[in-house]
Amino acid sequence: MNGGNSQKTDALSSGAIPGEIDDAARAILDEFNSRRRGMRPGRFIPAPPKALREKSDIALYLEKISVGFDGFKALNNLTLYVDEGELRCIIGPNGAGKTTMMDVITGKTKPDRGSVWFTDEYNLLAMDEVSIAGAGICRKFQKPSVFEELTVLHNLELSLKGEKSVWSTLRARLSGEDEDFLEMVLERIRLQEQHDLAAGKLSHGQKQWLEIGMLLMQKPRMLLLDEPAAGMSPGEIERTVELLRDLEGEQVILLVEHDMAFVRAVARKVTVLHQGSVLAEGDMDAVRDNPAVIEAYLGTEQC
Amino acid sequence: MLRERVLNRSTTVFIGCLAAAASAVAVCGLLPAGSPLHLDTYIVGLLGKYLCFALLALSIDLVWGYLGILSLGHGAFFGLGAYVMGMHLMREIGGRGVYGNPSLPDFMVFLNWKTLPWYWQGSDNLLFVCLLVFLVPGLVAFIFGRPAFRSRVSGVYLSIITQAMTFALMLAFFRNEMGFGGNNGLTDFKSLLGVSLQSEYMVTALFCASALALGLAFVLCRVVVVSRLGRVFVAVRDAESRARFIGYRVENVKLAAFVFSAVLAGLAGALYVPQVGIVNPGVFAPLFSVEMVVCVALGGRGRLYGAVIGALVVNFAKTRFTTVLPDVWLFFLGALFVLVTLFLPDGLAGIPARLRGRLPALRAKSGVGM
Repeated sequence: MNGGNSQKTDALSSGAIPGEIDDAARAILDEFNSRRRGMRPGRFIPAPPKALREKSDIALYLEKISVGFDGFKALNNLTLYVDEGELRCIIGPNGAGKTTMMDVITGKTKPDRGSVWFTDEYNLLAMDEVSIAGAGICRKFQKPSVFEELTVLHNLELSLKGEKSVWSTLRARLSGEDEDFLEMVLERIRLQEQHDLAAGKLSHGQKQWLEIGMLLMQKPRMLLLDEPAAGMSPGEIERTVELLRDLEGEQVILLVEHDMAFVRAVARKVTVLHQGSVLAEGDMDAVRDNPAVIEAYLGTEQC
Repeated sequence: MLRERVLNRSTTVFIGCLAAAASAVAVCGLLPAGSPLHLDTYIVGLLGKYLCFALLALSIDLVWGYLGILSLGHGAFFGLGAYVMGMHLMREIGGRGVYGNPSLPDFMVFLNWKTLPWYWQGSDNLLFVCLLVFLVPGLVAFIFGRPAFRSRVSGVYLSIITQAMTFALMLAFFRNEMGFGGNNGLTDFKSLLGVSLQSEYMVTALFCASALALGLAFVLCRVVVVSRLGRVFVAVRDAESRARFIGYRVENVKLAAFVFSAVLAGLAGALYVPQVGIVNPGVFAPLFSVEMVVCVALGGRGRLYGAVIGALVVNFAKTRFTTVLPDVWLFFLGALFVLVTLFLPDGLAGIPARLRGRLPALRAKSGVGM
């Protein structure tokens, strides 16, 4: 009896030491795993670049990206940093590489060279499209696509983050928390009055807002907006600017836009792309006065 | 809250009408023959048959109207349910058959078979058969649907392969070697649970069972349709890739709906057989499936009760026409389909909304949404 007891204590005490080691190892492992979240298994995991480690408020980090299509360089040594919570406008003439840049960030296109990080957690080049979306990087395409037969509210409800299997969808109820969140998004996209209206009955601008709202429902960490103001009336553009300002600070917003008036109204830091690389960066006025920009872009477009 | 959404006004009206009509028919069916309100068992059986078709149409509307899967082979699931029930009724004949063989159905004796094939085992147990009525169509729908939806076959291509499926089943069931009575199918049924199928009690009971099944299935479909899953159905129907992009596994959604629908169709078939007294490979004929789709289109798809109305109207018209002008029926059906598509895109169920001068689409939305 006695012997059995001491054996038991022995086992416990000897187990305690590996347990401590386990904890330390687990901490390292957790750290390791957090870095490779969503990455393809079996890949070499590079450490986050130095700039990211030193300057912790960089959210999006694009370094020396090059993408070539049959000899044509869509992106050429593009380097771009966007800070946490920043609303950044990307402008540039046709073919400057704006859309390709979006494709690289969302994983649709893999660059030939360079590195892309989202904070120091996600090495986007090691992730596929689905896991990048899962990391909270949401893209809104140019053409609005909403579920036309469903009401505005239901459009948002379906986009709610959460379990989406058949069975859980059948049993899904909106919790009070969800309802508050829905209400908040509705208010933000200014569609409270239309919440019971079929999305197909909305105006073009309202559909764009609804789609932004659908992205917001997924609680994104970064929004990529591809020409959200295209085809909008001046009044709608004004409200879109308000909406973007409203969203600023909570997530990174990358706004690719063609419409100079819209970019000026947003009035945030502007990056000008030209022939696949950054030509100028700064506020709208500084950029406009930059001779290289005038030559490349503003010279051809009356502004 | 949920009860209010499931039992909205149109559903309450529908269930109320169904219950009232069914009890009236049941009572009149059981009145003594001399009474002025007496309904002949033939009429009661006929109405029961209509209810089975209505249930089949309902199952088609769930996948077509809400999910956009146009199945031109739903008769296959109906047929499978019907054959499973038919097997039980064959076993129940026992020694009362023409050849008087207590263990083998007549057609097997005729084919000189000595023993019952393995898949006929257990068919004498009604409980087991009831289980199979749900399992067999569900399983076939699963086996068929899984690869089809996974490889993202949709639209007209899916319709064509559903048609091919039912055609293949028809050819298979025509063969005597299959052990399902070949060309003649299963017939000459005598009784169910020891009660003669001709007795007015049995006829009324089967009619009531059909009405009950239709009512329950209707409420179940409503539960699905008003849930978030129902909204996902509509989302998939209108913008499949977008729904996928948001994170829904579209193939699983489609498969689940298809299997559920097939189970309802199988139940309809199982209730149909004892009331009609025969099942043959004709139920697998593509024409039958297409006719049911026409019923749904005529009644108005995407609102469930439209399918029921369509099935009742078309089958009543069919009974009338095939007795008066049998040759004209198919032409009439075709003309009806064309006219409804042209002038009543929302079907018969859309007429009230049209009369009220409102946009029919608005009504469809309220049916789908709240």
